[in-house]
Amino acid sequence: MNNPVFIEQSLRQQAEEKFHFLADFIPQLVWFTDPTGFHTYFNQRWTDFTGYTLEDSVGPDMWNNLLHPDDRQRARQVWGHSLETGEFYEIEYRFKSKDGSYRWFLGQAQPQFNEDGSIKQWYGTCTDIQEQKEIEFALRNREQELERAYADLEVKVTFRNLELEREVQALRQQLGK
Amino acid sequence: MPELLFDINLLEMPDDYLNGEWCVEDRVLNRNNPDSPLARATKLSLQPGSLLVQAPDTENSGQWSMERDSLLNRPYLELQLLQEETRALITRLRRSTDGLHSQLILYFQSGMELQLARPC
Repeated sequence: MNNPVFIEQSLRQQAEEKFHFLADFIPQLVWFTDPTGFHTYFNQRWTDFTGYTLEDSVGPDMWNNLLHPDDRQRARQVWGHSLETGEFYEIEYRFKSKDGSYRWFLGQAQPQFNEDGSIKQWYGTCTDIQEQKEIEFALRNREQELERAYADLEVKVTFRNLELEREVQALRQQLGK
Repeated sequence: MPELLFDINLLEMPDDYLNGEWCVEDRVLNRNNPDSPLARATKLSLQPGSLLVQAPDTENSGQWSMERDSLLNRPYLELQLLQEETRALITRLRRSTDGLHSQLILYFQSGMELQLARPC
């Protein structure tokens, strides 16, 4: 029982259990990649939402199916930039759930560095921001409606003023006769 | 599912976008003249140069033209009926991409507003 190898294995197992418990408990989708962007881990929420496992992430199919077509190019560009530079990764994009509907997520990833400064691996999360996005879109629509209503009001007032001008001119002409 | 309509740029709108039969979907009446043919209209038919206004118990024909004023950044209509002569500002024109569905909002010099739609 006091074998150091056994103790180390036991501690490692406990740490892994704690990690999996935590990673599956938090509300985010969690993913890790190697320095080249190759996925090495997805938490259970990822698989539950997307329907894809780690094995499915090999090749382009998962990403092409998962990302909204309008977000694919931007996502590739932003992620490529982070992989190249090691800069913090942050993007808002839409993922398709396994039931076929899209939801907005905030994707974020931070690299872990080796002692020599090279990237060891990336730790990423995707936070569901669908509700915030819906509120944002509703507010934007409301703002546009108000802008339109104000523009309408201005032009209506000008229109009525022009009509009054015409009436005044007509009355002046009649009086002048 | 309702047809998706897009706002038309009124400054570049071709006249023939208005041609056709329009149904009155909604109206905000002016208290001074609630019994005029246009205030009671249920359908407006705009053909090149000619206008037909249908109300529940009557029909009025006349002429129309689309005009522009440099002070207004939207066109307006000159409407001439036997009993009524008026102008109406086009405040909004929306169309579906295939042009089969449209919505037109007219603001009259009396303050009346009509929301028209087609097809009826």
